[in-house]
Amino acid sequence: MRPKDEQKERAIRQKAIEMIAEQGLDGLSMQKLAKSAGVSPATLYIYYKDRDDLIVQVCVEETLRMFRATLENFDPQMSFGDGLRIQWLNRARFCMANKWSVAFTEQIRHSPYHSRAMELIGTEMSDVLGQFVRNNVVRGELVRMPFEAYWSIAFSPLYQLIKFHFQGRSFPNHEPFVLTEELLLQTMQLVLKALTP
Amino acid sequence: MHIGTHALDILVFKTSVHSPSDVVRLEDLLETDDRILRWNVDLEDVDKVLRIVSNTLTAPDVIRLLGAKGFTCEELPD
Repeated sequence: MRPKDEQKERAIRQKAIEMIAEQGLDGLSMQKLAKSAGVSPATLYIYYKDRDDLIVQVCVEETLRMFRATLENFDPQMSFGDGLRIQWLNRARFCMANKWSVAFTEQIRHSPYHSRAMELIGTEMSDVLGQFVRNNVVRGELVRMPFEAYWSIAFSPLYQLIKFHFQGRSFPNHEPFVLTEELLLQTMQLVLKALTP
Repeated sequence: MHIGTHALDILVFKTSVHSPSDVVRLEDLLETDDRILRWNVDLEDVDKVLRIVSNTLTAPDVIRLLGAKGFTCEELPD
């Protein structure tokens, strides 16, 4: 048995994320990945069955990392304001600290790999968040509306701000832009106002 | 590490397998061999990598097995 090596595995995963983030799914081949991670192609096949298996497994790991970060200190029994605030802060912190992972997920989101990963992960995260929404609708703290409309109002402003932050400015003729926690929470308050009955 | 009867060995080869029909021919050979726990061929890779999970087979065994079906294969170095 060739023993698995944690450090090698991490290097492989990180390089795979960067390659897909930068060049899309077509940018990743086992040979190129082996070269850039400094391992032999044979080593990749010790960890992963094939290219598809590698992409799905990396997607599972990154998604779980994002889920865990999003749910940190979060409880579905929270008031809508408190829960939304924690969600915004958690999601923003994760995105800021994991730029490659976010770009990787963007590339993969509309591919069959993402659906396969989600099947493996299950519904724990959406169950917790769904419960949070239902609790608050019942308590009269949140407007009852179709999920897609709710999610768009609750989180799209956040992700747009993060996108502007990564771009360094919103539009070409605008001043440089940095997302601060103050602005984040200020925007969240407006979202909260919009979603409060 | 990996003491006991369940330590699995993963063998990795570069092969001359090229098409899905080649893989079907391999299926007859590998599926019926109970020394092989799992196997797959990555046809997308330039090396057409054959990956075999077994706790008894050695690389020369696999090279002989495939050779009998007219495929060449060589173990990929670690």
